[in-house]
Amino acid sequence: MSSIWDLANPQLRDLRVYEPGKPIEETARELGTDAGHIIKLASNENPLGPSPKALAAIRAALESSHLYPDGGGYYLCDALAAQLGVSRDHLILGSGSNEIIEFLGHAFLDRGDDVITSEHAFIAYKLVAAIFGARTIEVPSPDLRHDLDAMIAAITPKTRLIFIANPNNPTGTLAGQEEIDRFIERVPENVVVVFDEAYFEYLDDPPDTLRFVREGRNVAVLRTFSKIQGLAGLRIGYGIARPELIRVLQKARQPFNVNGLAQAAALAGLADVEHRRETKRITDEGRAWLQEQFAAMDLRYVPSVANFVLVNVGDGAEIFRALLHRQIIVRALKGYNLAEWIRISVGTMEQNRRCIAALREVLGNRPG
Amino acid sequence: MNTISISRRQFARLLGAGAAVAAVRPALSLAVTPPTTPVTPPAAGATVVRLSSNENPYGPSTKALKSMTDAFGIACRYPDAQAEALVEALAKLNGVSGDQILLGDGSSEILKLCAVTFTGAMTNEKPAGRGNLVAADPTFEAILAYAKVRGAETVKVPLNASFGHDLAKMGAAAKEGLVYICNPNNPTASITPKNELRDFIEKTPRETMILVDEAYFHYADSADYESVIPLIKDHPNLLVARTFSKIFGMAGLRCGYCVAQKETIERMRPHQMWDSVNVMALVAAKSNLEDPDQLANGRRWNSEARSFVIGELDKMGHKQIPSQANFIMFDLKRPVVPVIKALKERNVQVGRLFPALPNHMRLTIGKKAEMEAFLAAFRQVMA
Ligand SMILES: Cc1ncc(COP(=O)(O)O)c(C=O)c1O
Ligand SMILES: Cc1ncc(COP(=O)(O)O)c(C=O)c1O
Repeated sequence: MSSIWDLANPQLRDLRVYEPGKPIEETARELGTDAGHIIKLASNENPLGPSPKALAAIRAALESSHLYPDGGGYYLCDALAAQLGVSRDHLILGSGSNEIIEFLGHAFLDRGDDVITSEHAFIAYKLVAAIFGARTIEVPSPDLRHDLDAMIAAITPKTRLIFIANPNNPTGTLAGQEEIDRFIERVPENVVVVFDEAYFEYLDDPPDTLRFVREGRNVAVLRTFSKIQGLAGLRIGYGIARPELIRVLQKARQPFNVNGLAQAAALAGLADVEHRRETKRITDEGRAWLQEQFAAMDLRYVPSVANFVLVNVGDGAEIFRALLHRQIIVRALKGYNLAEWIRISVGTMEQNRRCIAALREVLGNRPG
Repeated sequence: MNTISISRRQFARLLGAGAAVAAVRPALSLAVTPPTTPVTPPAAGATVVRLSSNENPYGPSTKALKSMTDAFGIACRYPDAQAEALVEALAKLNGVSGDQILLGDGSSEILKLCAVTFTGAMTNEKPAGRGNLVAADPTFEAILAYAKVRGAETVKVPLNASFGHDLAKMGAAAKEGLVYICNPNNPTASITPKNELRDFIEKTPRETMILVDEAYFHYADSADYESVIPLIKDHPNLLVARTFSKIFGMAGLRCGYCVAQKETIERMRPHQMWDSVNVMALVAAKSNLEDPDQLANGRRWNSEARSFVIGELDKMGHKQIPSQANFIMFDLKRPVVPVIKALKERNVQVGRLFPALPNHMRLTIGKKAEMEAFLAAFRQVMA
């Protein structure tokens, strides 16, 4: 028989599959050590875990494990709506914010369409464009920041979606309010702009993009419970947009996409201001400390506003492997065309210290 | 956090401003919207008897429940390792290799992925997903909606006189695309005999994919029934969907999977975003598989409660379609819609209307006490 690729969508052939952060369990197995000894700073997860209130809610929800969840997430959407100052019909839940990115593809992308994003932007956008046979236009980002002016210039008659991760993963940089305002004024009305704000809650002075939603523009804002809420394993995120746009995305959703435990955990976690404050505090402290250490080691890093830092170590893949042998998992970024860099998620102070100690050892051992 | 609130009037004005509609793919606008309203809360003090969604009232194994509380420490981590562990367990269980298994956020996601990968407008260039979706009527209809989102034509072929799939007609209606076979079938609880299905799979040309949905596999005990997983090795166009929502009692946790040849799975995989199944479902599914009591008890309790309710319905003269699942479909001899409504007012929820069988009711088999509550309400309503 001929290759299956003769049958498959051609754009999928060259698609690099997403490589997740290396799991702790797999690393432990490979190193012949206990999972408890491994430090994972590879997936921008919350090292404190979820709020105790969220865990208590999961425990209580276990007894409804056998019942189909409320697909629309009625109660959670109500709570989010109140917190965000929008109405429930501005919201859609996803099994991770990743799934909302997929809904956007189902809704707007077809063969021959264009998607615009930044070079070094979160890789999901490129993947989703490929799924639907659309072309991704990657706007150069020489200083590792989004160049919003260049994005405007890149718009073609076939542009359907523009994805802006703000702050961006893996660079940790932020486009500010003025830049964004200027950008939005110039985007044609028939292009949907997506602000992916997975790290929104870590920001001191977050730009307001919900105002564009309230103004009725074609803007979708994505948020997640995977990061500051510490619920990456539960898979829940949400999208905010004007009701008509939400109704379009709802059509691409399968009725029971978000599991019941995640909904219960998210609802309880939302109410725990203290857990969020503490997570932000240790993240701010850890990030400042990591950046000081990089400076002291004469390593180039990108000042970050999120819960991770991008640092130039010369050969990212090599340093990734060397750290792995010291039981520390970070992220190498060849797939992002950042081969000299690694991305280190901010951990607890103890984890940060162990990571830096190992990094010093590894770099010290390097010839030349 | 941003908590600016706006008045209702402001809000109405903003909505009225009528932003330009972006170019939504035309097929999407034809698709149905899943409901966003919650299950109606019961009147104060009342408990609802929920016999509407073919759930397993006994829930997952206690081992599964424990594995979930044991996983609290990894709730903050992306669940890649746990997904891999479940894939391995499922591969072993089904006698296939790991690359022949695809996990889904419920088998619903598997159905969606099959529609996305294997159906589409006939105008699509050859390598793209193209071809129609052929399904029975009545059947589990979710996949029809997903195919419509992809712009595919959908064809419904009525069940035959014994409530099996009319495979000859379905095969004749297929244009490349995908034939969906739900076995046992929801909502009729009936099976399509194994010999007919085997013949059909042998005869169907390879450019038409066949998806056999075995959501209720574990409840079927007829000598005329079998899983088609063993046929996968000879048929690159055959896929089987399974779920943890039924006998494994995990509908709220969302986990299902697909078995097919490696290359068939590879065609689907790029259409799925990563990490779609959550960690609690993954660890619970694995522990559930390791607990043999889960299946044995599930089957026994289901067949006991089912015999009980069938006996009572027989006495009332309501004939059922022979059930090979955890629900039954029986002849009301009058329109079902008013009865559904009257039962709901008595806090008993039963299956929805299936327009192909407007005088039949689908009833999930719950615990014996729930079936008694149903019968009491049903007798009142029918009196
Ligand atoms: C910018 C950005 N968006 C979205 C996601 C996906 O998050 P999730 O699907 O867990 O909500 C991530 C995860 O790393 C991210 O960095
Ligand atoms: C035949 C059939 N397939 C699939 C499903 C979807 O199940 P899940 O997504 O919970 O696995 C159902 C649910 O009732 C069903 O009856």
